[in-house]
Amino acid sequence: MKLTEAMKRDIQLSLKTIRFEFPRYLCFFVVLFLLQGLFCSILTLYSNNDRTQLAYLEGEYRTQSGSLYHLKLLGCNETQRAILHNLDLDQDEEKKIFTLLGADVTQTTDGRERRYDLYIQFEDEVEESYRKFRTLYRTAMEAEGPYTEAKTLLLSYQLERAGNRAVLVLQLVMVVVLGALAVWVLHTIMTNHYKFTYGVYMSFGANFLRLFRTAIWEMVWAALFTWLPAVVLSNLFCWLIFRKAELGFAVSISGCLLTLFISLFTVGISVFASIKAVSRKPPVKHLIADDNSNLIHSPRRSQPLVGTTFPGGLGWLSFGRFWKYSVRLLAMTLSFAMLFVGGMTLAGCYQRMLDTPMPLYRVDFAIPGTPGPYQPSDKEETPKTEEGTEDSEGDSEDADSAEKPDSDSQADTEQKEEIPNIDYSAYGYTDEISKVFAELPNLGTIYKESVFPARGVRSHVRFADENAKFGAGGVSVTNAGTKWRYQMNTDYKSLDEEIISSFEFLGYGIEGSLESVLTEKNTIAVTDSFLGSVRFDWKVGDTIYIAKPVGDLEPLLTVEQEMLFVTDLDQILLAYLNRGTFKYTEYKIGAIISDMPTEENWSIFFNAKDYQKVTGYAPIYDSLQVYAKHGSTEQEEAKLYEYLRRAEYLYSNMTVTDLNTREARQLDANKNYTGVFTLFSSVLLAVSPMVWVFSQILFYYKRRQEFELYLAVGAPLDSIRQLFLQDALRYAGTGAIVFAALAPVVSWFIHRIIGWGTRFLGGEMLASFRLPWAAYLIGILICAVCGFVSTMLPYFTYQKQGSPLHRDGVEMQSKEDAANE
Amino acid sequence: MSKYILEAVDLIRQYKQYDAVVTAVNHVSLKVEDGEFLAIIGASGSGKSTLLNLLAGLDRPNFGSVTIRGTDITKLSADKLSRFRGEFTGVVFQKHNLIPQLTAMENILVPTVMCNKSDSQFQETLKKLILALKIGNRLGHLPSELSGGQQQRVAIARALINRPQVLFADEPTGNLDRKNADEVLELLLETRKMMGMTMIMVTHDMSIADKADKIYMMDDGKLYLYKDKQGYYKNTYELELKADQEKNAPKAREPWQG
Repeated sequence: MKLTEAMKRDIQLSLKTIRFEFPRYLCFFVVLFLLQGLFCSILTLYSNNDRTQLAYLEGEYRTQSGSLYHLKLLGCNETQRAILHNLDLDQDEEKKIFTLLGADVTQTTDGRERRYDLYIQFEDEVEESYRKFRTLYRTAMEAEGPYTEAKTLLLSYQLERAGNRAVLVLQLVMVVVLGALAVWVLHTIMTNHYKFTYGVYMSFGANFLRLFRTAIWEMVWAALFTWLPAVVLSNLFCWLIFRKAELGFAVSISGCLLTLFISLFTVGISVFASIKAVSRKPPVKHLIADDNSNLIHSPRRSQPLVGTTFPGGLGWLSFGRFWKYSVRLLAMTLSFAMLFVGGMTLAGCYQRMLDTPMPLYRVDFAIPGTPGPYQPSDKEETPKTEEGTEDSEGDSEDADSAEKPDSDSQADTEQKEEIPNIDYSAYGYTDEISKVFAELPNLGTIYKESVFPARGVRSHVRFADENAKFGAGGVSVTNAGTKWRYQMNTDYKSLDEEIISSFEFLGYGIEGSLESVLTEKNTIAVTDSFLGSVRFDWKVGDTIYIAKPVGDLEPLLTVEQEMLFVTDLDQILLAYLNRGTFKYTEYKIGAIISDMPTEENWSIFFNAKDYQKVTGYAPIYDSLQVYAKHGSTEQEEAKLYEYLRRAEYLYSNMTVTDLNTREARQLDANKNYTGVFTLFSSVLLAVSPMVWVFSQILFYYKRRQEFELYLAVGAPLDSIRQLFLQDALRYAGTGAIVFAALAPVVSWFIHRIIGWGTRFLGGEMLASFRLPWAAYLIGILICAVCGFVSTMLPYFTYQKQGSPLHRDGVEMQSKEDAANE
Repeated sequence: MSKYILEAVDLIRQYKQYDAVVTAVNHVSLKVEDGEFLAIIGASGSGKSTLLNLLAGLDRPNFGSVTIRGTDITKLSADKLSRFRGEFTGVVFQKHNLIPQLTAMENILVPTVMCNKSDSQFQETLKKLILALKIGNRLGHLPSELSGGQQQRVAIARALINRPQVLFADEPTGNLDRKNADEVLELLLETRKMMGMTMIMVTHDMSIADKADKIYMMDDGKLYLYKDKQGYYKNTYELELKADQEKNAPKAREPWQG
């Protein structure tokens, strides 16, 4: 048979089926409308974002003469400027890589040397030009002295364009997978309820391909009919977003066409999976499944019905018999509702990340040498600092802490590494600079950190196991009836007044008193999370023991050598515990810090003395993050930058870097992740009622014979209504309870998975998990309402259409029926 | 080439019902000659419909083989088996199994669509069937608008439209009154003769079975020859059944010879 003829037949058959049983296909129309709307919105937003972001950045990075620049070379000397100028002139016009647009004379040092900020523009192939520029000219420039290369966000954006496209593809893949899941769920419900038809088709020769062709055309029609309205509405939606942001908007024709292609692909996958499952079974299995019997799952034993109440008792029995169906229905509907809460969790995370103050500039201090690994605690040779001397008081050491005798101190001394006799506190961010910085205009705060990872000083911490929440990791050891948790993924950080004030500025949640860390003996502050999730259940006053190695270092050095390529800190810690001897010092938690952005390690904050005692070094701040005051304008931020640059020339070891935060923030805001996730989640939530109603209508439609029989043997119609009502309440209750119990867990997992994925792709660390209570409550409500309404709807239809057994009066028979009888 | 169009060897079909195993078809072997009309009789629950489903390739046996025209259909993949059913077999079900949203004509044409037949391949057969089954005036009606007899005639036309080599009928008149049943059966037999095909019919009606070339009796999952061209084997069947019950052991059998 010709292909066209076969197609014509397929099309006719599918159109007829849809027309005849439109209500059965309605949910597919709705879901495909939503999905296509989502696809189109993502593509349109991306296309417009790409255009507007480029336009925005091109507006931001222009010289005074209006030329676009990609790179700034800061602090170049006269020779470097001349080199670049000559290189520019020497370029072949046709193979030009860059143009030196101009130079700002930024400083005259001692009236002897002039410094220049040079503006570079790359030619069309920006990525390639930048690469060549770095290879060809960087060496010559660097040979003439230090300068700073300040990449503009425009350059970064163009360099990362391929990455952005990859993110778009990932987003689309995620939406396609979830969309395919939604269509698959609905299609499986349909094939499950209409197995009989498939059984007939298969009895007469339909194989998988034939069934697939029949089914796919039905879905193709649903996709085609909904494509145009979905595309129009999503473009309207995107236009409104861009209009609100006062950005230009353009309809993406390719995006609209791609939407159709992606949606056809999505339904293709779903129908393939669903029909494959059908075609695998012998037709007889489908033919006998015409009466819901395939949904019954119970011990096939008769129940003692004598004395069973009706409709109550028998209703319960039927509900129990269909538990397989109920579990499947709840699993499908609740999954989508849970994905909604998960999506809203992510939307909340992105919004919080956008709302978190971000540093505008970074200030780095060049420090001669760097602190080396830790030296053992006995016979410590702590470097002298301005305010810190070796602390000899206040150690309340554990009686059981020194597990191995402190022996062979001679050998120990030999293992010690040479510590350069440098007063590090004289470098970096000194009090003197601090005073100067305090006068900076429009300054919000300066965040400084002096950090030592516990492993860096071969230390670890110990605390009561009950303080560790799920996912805290570490090693659990029971010692003398007490269960302890040991951990090494800890950063030791110093704390002072300035850091405390920066915490206040950054809006971190503080429980207890940070000041107590500075004023009280052996008191610390701790964070409660790492990798974006709360992992500890601290209370102010809880105790943490900080370990320091004592005695012979050789076993620990051996561990390090043996585990050179081991990345699991817990394994290393376990080896340390087994082979080393440690002294534990007790610290009391004075404050708990929450909402602090986290990575792999959690933090313990010490005052300067304790910090030095634990790490062996006085706090040293070689890098600062500079924040502008809240609500600063662009001009105010520029002024702050200008003053920082002035300071840069006052202190020769200081470098200021513009982090392009304002522009990056604008780009992030334009990406509108919060909006996309909210939209995405809402679409997923909309699938849930669809599945409820679709499945329940088909299910109860097939149970009509059962109700007819009850009526035939004397049950009043009201008892049928009660049967439905009881089922409705059961579904509503079960749905709400199961959702309420599982949604937080599922959301937490989604947060973990997305957080892991983002980290894996080198993206920003997600904000810590926080359950969106509003979405959670909406989810509970939706589950309860849908469970109830979807069960009562079939009853109202049944009541409306009427059964011959409770219909008032006698309907007229058609002439043909009468003739047949 | 074998003179048998269908050969079933040692078929076993068991179902698991909770913690018990029910053997619906128990070591059944059968040979059917080309053009033969074979009836399988037996009490309800004796396993005759299950056997028919196995023979028609609508279900898979746990053990044994079914060969139709030299092809062991139990070894075919689900896809190939579907295609085979469409090309070589036709089925008439007891409950008609018409698709409710399709008209009578569309229901008849379902197998042609499933097997991608072109119009020219079935137009003549269609005309003959419509004429023979007397359903010309009901073709545009939905199944719900047809009487039971009309529905079954449509089902017969559907089973024959692809000119199958073997027609399987599972109590085709079981849902009809006597008058309608006789009429439908006559039409079925005439059409079969007209198209010269082999037919295997399951029935519990002895008067219908009597029209067959051979009758097999199904009892507790086992198959016994009851009648062939040489006459009835009622006594032999009873003796065999008794002996079988005494032995109480499953045994594969060949049909009795004479």
